[in-house]
Amino acid sequence: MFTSTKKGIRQQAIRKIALPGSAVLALLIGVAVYVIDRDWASALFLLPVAAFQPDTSALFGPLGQVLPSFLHAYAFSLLLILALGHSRNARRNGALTWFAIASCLEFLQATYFHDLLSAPATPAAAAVATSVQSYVLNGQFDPGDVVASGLGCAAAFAISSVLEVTR
Amino acid sequence: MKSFKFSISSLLSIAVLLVVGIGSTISSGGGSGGPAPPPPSGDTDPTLAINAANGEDVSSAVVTTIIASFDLGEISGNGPFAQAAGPGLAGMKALGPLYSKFGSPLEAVQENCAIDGTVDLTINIADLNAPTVGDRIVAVFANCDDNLGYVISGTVDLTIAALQGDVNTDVFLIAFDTILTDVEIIEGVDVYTADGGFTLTLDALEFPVLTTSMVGEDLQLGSNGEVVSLSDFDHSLTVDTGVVPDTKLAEASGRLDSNSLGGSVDYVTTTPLQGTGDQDPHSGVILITGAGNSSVRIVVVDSQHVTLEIDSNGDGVVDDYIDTTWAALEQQAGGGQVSSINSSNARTIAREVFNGITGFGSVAVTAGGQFGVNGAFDLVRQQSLSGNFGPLTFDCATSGTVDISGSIATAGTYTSNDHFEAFFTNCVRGNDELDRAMTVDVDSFDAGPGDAYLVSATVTENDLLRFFGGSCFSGTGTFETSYDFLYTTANSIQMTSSANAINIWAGGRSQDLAAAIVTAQIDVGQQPAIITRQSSGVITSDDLVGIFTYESTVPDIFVVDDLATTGPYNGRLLVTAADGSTMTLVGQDQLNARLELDFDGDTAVDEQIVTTWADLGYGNSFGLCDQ
Repeated sequence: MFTSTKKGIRQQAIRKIALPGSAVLALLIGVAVYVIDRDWASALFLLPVAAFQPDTSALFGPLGQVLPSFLHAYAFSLLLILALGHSRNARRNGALTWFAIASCLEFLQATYFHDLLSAPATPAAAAVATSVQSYVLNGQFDPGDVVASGLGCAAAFAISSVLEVTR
Repeated sequence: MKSFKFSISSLLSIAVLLVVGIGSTISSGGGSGGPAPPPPSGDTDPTLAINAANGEDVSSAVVTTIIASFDLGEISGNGPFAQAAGPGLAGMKALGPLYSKFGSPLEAVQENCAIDGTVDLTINIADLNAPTVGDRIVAVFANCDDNLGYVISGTVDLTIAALQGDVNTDVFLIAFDTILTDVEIIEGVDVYTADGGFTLTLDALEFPVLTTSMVGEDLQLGSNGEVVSLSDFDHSLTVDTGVVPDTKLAEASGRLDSNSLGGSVDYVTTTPLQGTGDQDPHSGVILITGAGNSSVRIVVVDSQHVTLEIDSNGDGVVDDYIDTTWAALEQQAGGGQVSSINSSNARTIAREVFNGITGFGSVAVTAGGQFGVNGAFDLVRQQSLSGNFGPLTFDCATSGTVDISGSIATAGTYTSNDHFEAFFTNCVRGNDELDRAMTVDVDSFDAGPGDAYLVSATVTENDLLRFFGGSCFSGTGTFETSYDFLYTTANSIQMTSSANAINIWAGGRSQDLAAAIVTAQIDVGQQPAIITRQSSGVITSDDLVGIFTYESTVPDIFVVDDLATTGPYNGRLLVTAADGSTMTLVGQDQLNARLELDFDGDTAVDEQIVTTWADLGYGNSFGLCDQ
């Protein structure tokens, strides 16, 4: 009775603190890759301050090319898993769902969609459409990103399984 | 099958997660780093390597070209209808009134422009009462000033390619297949030229949102002496006139090729340029990609400032940042500074202009002369050749040789499309010596009595060097020429040549002329011959700051004698700077000239400088006129 209660408290703490905390930490590291290593004008969320960017560096090296995809997939898979509940099905569905979304978004950057969405935007199309168009046209499909996203989702599945079940 | 059950809050959490997750992916531009791929622009890669040294020039060329294209789109769409309506899309509403001017669906009329000049309109339309897809309107402008802020010359050929709505209302769309031929637009001291084709679409279907788009494969644009080629381009400008001030959104992509930049680059607005009113854009990003994936990204900071992010080695990491302004980028094409005339630079300006126009006249008139007795092309004609020939080496009339190859349709004469490629080597005929390359495509040729003839041709010279009458000039560029040797008037040679852009070298210095026209009447009935000459155009040079326009207000008259030390004994040449200051170069006599300076542009002479033609000329700098 006490053991199971203690286990329940630990699992609650893990669910409430450790897992979300690791997701947030992953997101922060991902942002750091953009802020430190990337050209701010290539990222919409940094574009408003792109003119103030100091010199870029290569702090994360080659890893910085795919790290954001991995961390982003990890963080959102984990958050999705937490939102879906604590079951094996939730962990599996959360990870797979996010991998499907991330893969779709990456494939949107393939050449086919470049051509499809190269029509100019109008004011009526609004900022969201322009952003999507910009994302599709400016980005470059990279199989490495798909792999990194898959690894991120798998990591989220594994971490959540280990922390929620084994402990 | 196991079903999932979620509370409302869980569902909301999941939805928010999905939205935030997808949104953050998009806002980050995707995962992988590295440079964005260059915009699609044909099968070949751009050839110009972009670096810190040329990044600003490249950015300037792209920005000014995009701006010029939008100006051109407005003028092209409006031009033929300008007499009946105001600028821009409003001009389209004049289609109805324009059509009603004609008495039949097939008609040609000439009308006077509002202020000066004429426009010849030729129509081939299906219905006089309403524009119809397939209707064609050809407008030939001759210095047409309709009080719209610019003077236009050249041919605008429009065919309606698409039509929706009613052009008599505010809500319509009309698309024109547009062909521009030798179009020149003078707007203040700015001179734009255009040749090529594109589809111009004027879309007011979502009025008061108006969109102008230009899509084409090949267009030559000249802006104050700088000629660039656009290929596979797609430019659009959307203006919401329903708000005050109006809001604008511009997008552009394509390839720009520029001789002065030294190659081609691809450009694309990765984030549309947005602006309000007459201000420059306050946001947006233009990515310009060059050879080896080198790039410069123009990031708009606000309506005054931009930052250029230059990636010289194409590794996706910015190597250099340049903070600059819209104004600087827009002025860069003119040397980066606004031209002005003052006491200290007047002689230099006069020297550059005088030598530029004399040099252009000299290297232009010699092309038509080669069809005369014992001229280079006459030597070919004497061989009664036809079809493709050469290269053949001919002895020039006095000394030296000329190697010529090409094609002739009919033996013993010249006809349209005959083609000659000549390379002169110390080729002397009388007191006229030529060196190096000249290519001629015959447009028309008519033989008159005796030695008389009239020829029109397109001429390309590549550092063609001419020594004549104690002067020496070399020319590089393409021009149209008409040369009348005693054909219309006995004892008179008449020549008119025009160039979108040509480079003249003399005295070890170069002058770049744009929208240049020179006409000369040479009275050979007396010896030495008398030349009456008129010139107009735009000039830049290494010795000048900014651009200057020039125009003969009184023709030059000079004796073909010792051109090294003498000049026109009559004539007035008005030179205008971008700030409105002017200088008139006045021929006093064969030896002396006077410069009348007007610093404030009020037409009153503020200062006079007396000088000599010898002081202004390069003619005596033999050995230095070669590049």
